Amino acid sequence: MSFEDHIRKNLKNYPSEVDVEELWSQIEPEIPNERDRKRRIFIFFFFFIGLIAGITYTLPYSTNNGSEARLPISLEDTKYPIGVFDENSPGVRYYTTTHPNSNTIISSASENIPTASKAELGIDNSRAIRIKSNKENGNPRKKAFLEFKNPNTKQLPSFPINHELIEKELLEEEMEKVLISEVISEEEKINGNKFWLELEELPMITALVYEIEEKEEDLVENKEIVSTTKPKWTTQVGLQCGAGTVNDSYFSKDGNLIRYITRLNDRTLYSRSLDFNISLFITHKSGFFVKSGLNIQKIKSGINTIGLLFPQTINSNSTTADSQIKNESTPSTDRQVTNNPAPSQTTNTPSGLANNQYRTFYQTNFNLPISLGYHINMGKVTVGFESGILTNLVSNEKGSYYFHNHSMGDLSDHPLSPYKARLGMMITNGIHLDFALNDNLYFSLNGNHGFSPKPINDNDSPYHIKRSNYGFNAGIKFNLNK
Amino acid sequence: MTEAEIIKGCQKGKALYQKELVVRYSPMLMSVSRRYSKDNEMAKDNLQESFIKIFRHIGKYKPIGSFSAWMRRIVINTSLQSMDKSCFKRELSGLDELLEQPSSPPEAYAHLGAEELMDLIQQMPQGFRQVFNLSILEGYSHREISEILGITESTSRSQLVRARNYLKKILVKRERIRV
Repeated sequence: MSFEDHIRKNLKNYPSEVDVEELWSQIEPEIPNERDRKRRIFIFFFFFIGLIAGITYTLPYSTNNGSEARLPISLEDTKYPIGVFDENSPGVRYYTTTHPNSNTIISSASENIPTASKAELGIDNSRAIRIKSNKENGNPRKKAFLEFKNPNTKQLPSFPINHELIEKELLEEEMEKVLISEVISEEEKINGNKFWLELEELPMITALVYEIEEKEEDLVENKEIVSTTKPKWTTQVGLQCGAGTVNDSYFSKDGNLIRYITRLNDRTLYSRSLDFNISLFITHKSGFFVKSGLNIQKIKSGINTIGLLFPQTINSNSTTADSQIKNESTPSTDRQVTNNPAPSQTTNTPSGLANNQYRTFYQTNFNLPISLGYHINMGKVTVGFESGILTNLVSNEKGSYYFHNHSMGDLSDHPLSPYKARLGMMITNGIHLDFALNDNLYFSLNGNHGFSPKPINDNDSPYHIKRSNYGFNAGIKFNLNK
Repeated sequence: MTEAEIIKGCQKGKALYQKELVVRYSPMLMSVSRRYSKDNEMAKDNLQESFIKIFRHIGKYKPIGSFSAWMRRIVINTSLQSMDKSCFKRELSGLDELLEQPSSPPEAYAHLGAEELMDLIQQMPQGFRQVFNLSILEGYSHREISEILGITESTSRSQLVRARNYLKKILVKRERIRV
């Protein structure tokens, strides 16, 4: 038996004495335990609940959600300001567009306006005032809505209405203001600071739209109201998650793309990412928008190969990359680490590398995108195109490898792991589709492509890696504008 | 408690299984750590750091190959990370006198036990020790060693030759003293 065999035999599985208790006492405080794990889950759970609660709270009040509820007011007992009966036109009477539960406008502007009960006004129970409310009792954020259709004929009023405007704003809080403005402009029935609508022409307003705590001035300053129907800037927040593919190309230092031809019996390769996005959109009414936010990208990649790997360069005249590959520790496709000496080759055959291996790879990117884009509004669907840059903070690669010779290890400990923590930059392009679910909430789909113009690995490596990725995300987007 | 149960328990962060893993595998892993360290104190530190890494990464462990091999590799990598890379240059220049006369290994090695062999390895200069361990005990090729240590293949080869000669020289010295 040789000396080396003697050493191998004696030391290969030789157990050394260790003070296990002392070792454990030093390790225990440093390692993750079950309580930490539960605490993380707990924190994540509450963060998630808080996020949902925050979104729900910040979502603007919408007129088409929630259940309809009758206010606890007695319609029979309510006295409605009915305006003035026109003595010259019997049967024509005027009706104010104030909320029946509010006397402020009436009392401040017209002292002698007669009032009438619902029966006197001709409002029957089938046309009772309906008021929407999130909470029936005591919630001051009460809202009503207009029904402009004539309850008898089910027809729209005879005067012209800007339907496009109404349709657009139908679910907005500004709806009543728009409609009132329309009526005023058509009928010009302004008496002082009050609006009077002819019941004959505007059949019955079965309910009136505004929030009770809203100032009355908002209702009467029609010019201002019209001018503010479309805000100059709108702010939206998007929450999305999705998946994508990540492709890394290896270049020799002279710029030639290194391509690998594999002669493999079996090969499976995947490289994918999970994306989580929170985005802020600030859109000008012209359609141009600025987008920023935070994108967290978790990349997972793996390879399972059996066979030989032959590196070649795209440029047939260049042998730099080939010779470099032969002489240096060789990169291979998709983050492999080659491992075995090349078998002897004839001059007509490129160097082959034994490439039986399994490898997993994990990396986390924190990306801060800034993009400029343009929105095209097509009714309920909005299409957006964007382009910009993305600053990314990349983590060390983590994972494990397992080679044909049964060696395995932790990638984070591998001295030649090409992917190190760094700050990088990518150029991104994207397109998104937003489907309006209501006036403030959208279902959003997004496709994006990004690429790194500069290498993403260490300069010390014998090669450069350039990354491109494609992603598809889905989520929600909501307006922050009130 | 089976190995699979220990792995599963450790992946869930259960202290009972974590301790069992330390109890069961620390003697074997301590040997690995000692072989790559110049003394037992350094070996203990490396072993402690390795266990922390093992527990932090065990969630990502996949049952491909043996679990022991996976842990051994982490211990080796941890030990290698703590070494000074410049040792290869230093050791090439300072030990020529000692390595000039390669002699045949004395037959006396047959009586050396594991602890004595461990001492011999720990006495070796750092660069020799790492290459010798990776090549002779782990079975890595020079290409693999060059990748692991970040040196050239020729450096790996020369380090191994010199490590062998160094050991022979030490053995001859010990034999003379013994006689």
